[in-house]
Amino acid sequence: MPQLIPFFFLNQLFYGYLALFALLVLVSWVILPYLLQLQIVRLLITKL
Amino acid sequence: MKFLGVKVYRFPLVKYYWPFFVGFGLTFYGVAKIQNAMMDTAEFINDPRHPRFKKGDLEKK
Amino acid sequence: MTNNYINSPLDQFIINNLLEINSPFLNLSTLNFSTFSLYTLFVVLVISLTFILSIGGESNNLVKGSNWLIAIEAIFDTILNMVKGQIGGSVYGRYVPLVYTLFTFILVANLIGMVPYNFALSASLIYIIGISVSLWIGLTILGLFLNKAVFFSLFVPSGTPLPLVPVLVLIELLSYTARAISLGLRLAANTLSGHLLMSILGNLVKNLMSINYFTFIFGLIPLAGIFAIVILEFAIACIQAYVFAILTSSYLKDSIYLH
Repeated sequence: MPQLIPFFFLNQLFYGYLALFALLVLVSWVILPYLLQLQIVRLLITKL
Repeated sequence: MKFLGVKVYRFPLVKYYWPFFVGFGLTFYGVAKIQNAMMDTAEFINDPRHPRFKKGDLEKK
Repeated sequence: MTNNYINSPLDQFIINNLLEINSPFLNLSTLNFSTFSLYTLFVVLVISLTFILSIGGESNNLVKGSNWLIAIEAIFDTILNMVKGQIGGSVYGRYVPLVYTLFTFILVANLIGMVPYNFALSASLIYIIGISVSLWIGLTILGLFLNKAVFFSLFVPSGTPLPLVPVLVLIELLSYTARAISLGLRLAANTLSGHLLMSILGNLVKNLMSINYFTFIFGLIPLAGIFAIVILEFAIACIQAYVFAILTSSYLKDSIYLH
């Protein structure tokens, strides 16, 4: 079964964790603050 | 600082997520042990991708 | 890439090294560029490209948003309300980025894997179970750090009579440790079995329809069944990502607030 060939275990884990960490930084530093700022601006525009 | 025109907000990642980074490190260490143990079994010892062939160990075990 | 034909349905999960790193001193084989790393690169590129396309455009479109923004904002609203409903309280905002990135990663990886002749990232048992075990270790450390010794009150359900407590603690401990692999095994086994089923059934129907004209017409009926199974696989790809995210937030609630 090709999922259980041991030569690629660490390769999968290394690049997988690297991709997850890069995505975590991108999401929490760029995407989510941008979306939160959009919600706040829409709230301020409509309520004030 | 800006990323393609969007202002970057530095969310404190290590302050809130440090247990998960410790978990990633422990799992990485455990899987390295499992990989080294599985590579030396009879099924995979003679596979050409084994790193012992790059070190010069050219005998069939 | 030693053969050009697919000999067994499991060959769709084979990983090959596309660019090797050979060093005479250290064993740097973990840094090879393989099919797995290519597909993780695709996932990161697709997610960042969707965001970059949504912030482009004229400057008076920033508050209204473009059509690309609808996809990102829909996922943002879903995850925010789901985490707020699960965890609640005043600290739920800290863990939204983690749940959001897990959800989008698994969703995009599953949808890329549904395109024919592509590699399904979620079917790699060792990667998905590795994520789930490391998340479980992180959750245990988080619970122990936030609640100190009171963390072990998680294993005693409220309102049990006193003689039953030892038995119940052992059962709760077993079910707590089973969370480590069940979270990842659910996603990996669903994706693996779905792709394997589609491959095997497709091979069978292709052999049936290639005999003569009568079996070609007759073979359109099982082909409609396989079409329904493919639609089911698309649904499973999206639902398993949501199940992973909602279970992670439920386990976060257990670690922080101890029911």
